[in-house]
Order: sequence, then C-alpha cells, then structure tokens
Amino acid sequence: MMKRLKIKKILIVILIIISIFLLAPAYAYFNQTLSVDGIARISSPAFQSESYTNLYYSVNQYRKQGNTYYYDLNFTIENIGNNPVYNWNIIFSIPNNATISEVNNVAYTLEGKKMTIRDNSNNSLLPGEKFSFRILYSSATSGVLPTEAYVNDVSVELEALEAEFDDPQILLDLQAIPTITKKNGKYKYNINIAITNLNDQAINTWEAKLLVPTDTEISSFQNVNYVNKISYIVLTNVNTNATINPNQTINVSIEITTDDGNYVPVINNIVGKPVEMFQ
Amino acid sequence: MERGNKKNFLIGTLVAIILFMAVGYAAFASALSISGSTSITGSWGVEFTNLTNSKIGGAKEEKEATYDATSVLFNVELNAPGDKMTYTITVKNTGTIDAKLKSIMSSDLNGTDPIIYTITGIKDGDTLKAGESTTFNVIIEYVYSSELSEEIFTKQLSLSLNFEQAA
Repeated sequence: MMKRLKIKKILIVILIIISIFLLAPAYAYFNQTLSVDGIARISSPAFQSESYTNLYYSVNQYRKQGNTYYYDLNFTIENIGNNPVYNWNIIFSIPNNATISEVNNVAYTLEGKKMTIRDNSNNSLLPGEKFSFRILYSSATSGVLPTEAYVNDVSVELEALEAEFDDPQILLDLQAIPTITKKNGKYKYNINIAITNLNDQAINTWEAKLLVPTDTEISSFQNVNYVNKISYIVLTNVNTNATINPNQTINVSIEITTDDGNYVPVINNIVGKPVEMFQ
Repeated sequence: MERGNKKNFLIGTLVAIILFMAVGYAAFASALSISGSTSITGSWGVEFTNLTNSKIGGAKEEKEATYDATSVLFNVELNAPGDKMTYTITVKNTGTIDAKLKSIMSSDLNGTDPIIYTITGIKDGDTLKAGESTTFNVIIEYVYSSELSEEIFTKQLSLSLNFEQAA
C-alpha cells in the first residue's frame, strides 16, 4: 500500500515537471527583453569646478523719474577658459518686482528677483570670444545692481560694476516746474536743467535730447540753443556754457507749452555719455 | 497480478493526462497567435532596428555606439556642463503579435550627479503593434553639481525594456 502511494507521488511530481517544461517555452517565446547599456565619462572634471567665464557690465543709464528708478545695463560675457562654453545661461538678481522694458540679443525668464538669461541662438562661446547683451528695467527700489552671477551654475564675479554705478559721468538735475496755468488751453512748463560734469576731463561742447510731448511748443529759453523735433527737443550749448569743467555745474532753462497735463521731462544722455538724473 | 493491472491502469491514465495537456497547450498557443496577429501563423519578435545620435556642446563618443537586435552599447565622453548626447533608438515589432512594454528597468535615471541619464518617448504599458516601430531617446547630460567628487566622473547605465505579448 505504502509503495503504491509512493509511486503515485512520484508520478504526480513527474507530471508537474512535464507541465512546467511544456509551459515554459510558450512563456519565453512571447517575451523579449531589450537592453541599453553604456557609460558616460566627464573628461575634464576639474575644469568646471572653477570659473571659466568673465561676466561684466556697464551702466548705460541709471536715473530716477518720479518714484521709479530706471536701469539700463550692458552685459558682456567672455570665455576665458580653454574650452568652448555651450548653451550658456546666466542667473543673477535684480530688484524684486522689477519691470523689464527691453532685453536685446538674449532670451530671459524672471521669477521674483531671479533673472535667467539664455543665449538666443544656441551658439557656443569659443575660447576668447565675447558676447554682449542689454537689459533695461525699472523698479521702485534704488541702487540694486547685480553683484553676483552664475554662468551655467558656476559662480562668476561681476566686474566693474560699482565704480560706474557710483561714479556717473554726468550728473543731471532736471526740474520741470509746471506753472499749470493754461494758456490758450495748454499747460506751460518751465524746465530748469542743471548739468554737472563729474568726469576728470572738461566737456567742451554738449548736446542733450529732451523728450517732450509731440504737440510741444517752445515759449522761451535761456542759456541754450534748441531744435524742436516731433517728440523731443535737441538742446545744445551756447558759447558761454560750451565748456563744462570737472565738477562744474551749468544751468539752462526752457519753457514749453503742451496739452499734456502730466508731462515729466526726461533726458537720457548728454553728448552720448550716460547720465544720472534726479528730479 | 491484480497489482500489475492497477499499475498499468495508472500509467495509462497518466499518459492520457499528458496527451490531454499537450493538446491543451497546443490549443492555448494557437489561441495566443490568433488573438495577437492577423496572420494565421503567429510569430513573435521585438528588436532594435536603428540608432542615431545628436550632440550638444563637447559631447562625443569615445567609441562608436553599436546595436544589434536586442542590445545597444554606447560610450560617451562629456567635457563641460551643458554637454549633452542624445541617442534615438528605434524599436520595431518584427513579429505578427502585438507587444506591450511590460516594464522598464534601469540602473540609474535622473539623480543629482553631474552625469544625468534621462529616457524619453517610451513608458510602461506602451503598445507596439505588429509591424510597427517606435523610437525613444536616451539622453546623457553633464550638469554642474556642487557636490562633485572624484567618484562620480563616470556613470553607467543599464536599461532593460521588457516586452510581452499584448493582451
């Protein structure tokens, strides 16, 4: 009896094994594993642990108008390493809630005060090459210029910043005193302009472009020559104030009439030099 | 004598069962073929059929990538942050039975190391119908890592794509 049971058990085991053998090929046949294997290696790891680009900028203009500060910055990135820099991006801070008015040559994103700049053309920056771009923005916050930046996540020093920021070439004190007396249905503004030369060298002749409403008419002027264009007036020196010595201030004035009751005078530069303007 | 008859009966029964299972298996296999293919005689085959690459920056191949029906091998050198190599791999269902990607298994994807592997264009559950092809990308990228150390200047990838017959 025991022997019979033993035979029976063996036969059942054999049966199970046969079944597995029969089913296994069917399972294998309808499955396939594909594999991708590889290795990636960084060839010069030490290279990226240090800065391999220079980044610097100049202040084209920093001025205040009303309660708003206007920044106009020219950036230059330079590859000072021995290898090309590809797909570069630059991250730096600008004043929180700044309003970007213009960005040239690059793409950008702004999150809070973090501004990310990307190369628009996906061009590489070869060793020794430079690339420039311009950013204009405004903010209620004064004097916040980038001091630290990251190029491809590597910290770089920003060069020649504070010197230009703290040392504008020309200080312009521009005051528009609206008399607000309507004359023939127009507003009249008496604009007093004080120009201070903060350069080490004298300015010998000067020219300034005063932005004005298109309907502007000039009713009087003092110590200045002018040409009235459609949306601006070109102011030039007279003989007596052609030369502005270092740290010297000259004063001129012009009176205009316009329909615009909210006019605020703006001068962007004088003889092509950036100005710091306070009103 | 009686014991011998029983034994013979038992053996006969087992043989009958085995024959029955064999027939059952044949019927089962046939059913799979019919459901998975428009062909009368079904066949199974999923394989790599093409491999291309695109480079950004200083990425280059230390050895030219190779492939056969079931495997792809690559060896990439990266130079500076931003360097990227993308392999576009074609998988074709060369059989007559629809296939489904049951699972993707990988040694290391994404992560925070300076070398990052990313797989795009394919995912678990994707179906590859009989005769059709699909492509997916294996992206190898060098990103800056502040935690760079000597040990992570090389990184391997082992990726397995497990296909099975679609339901």
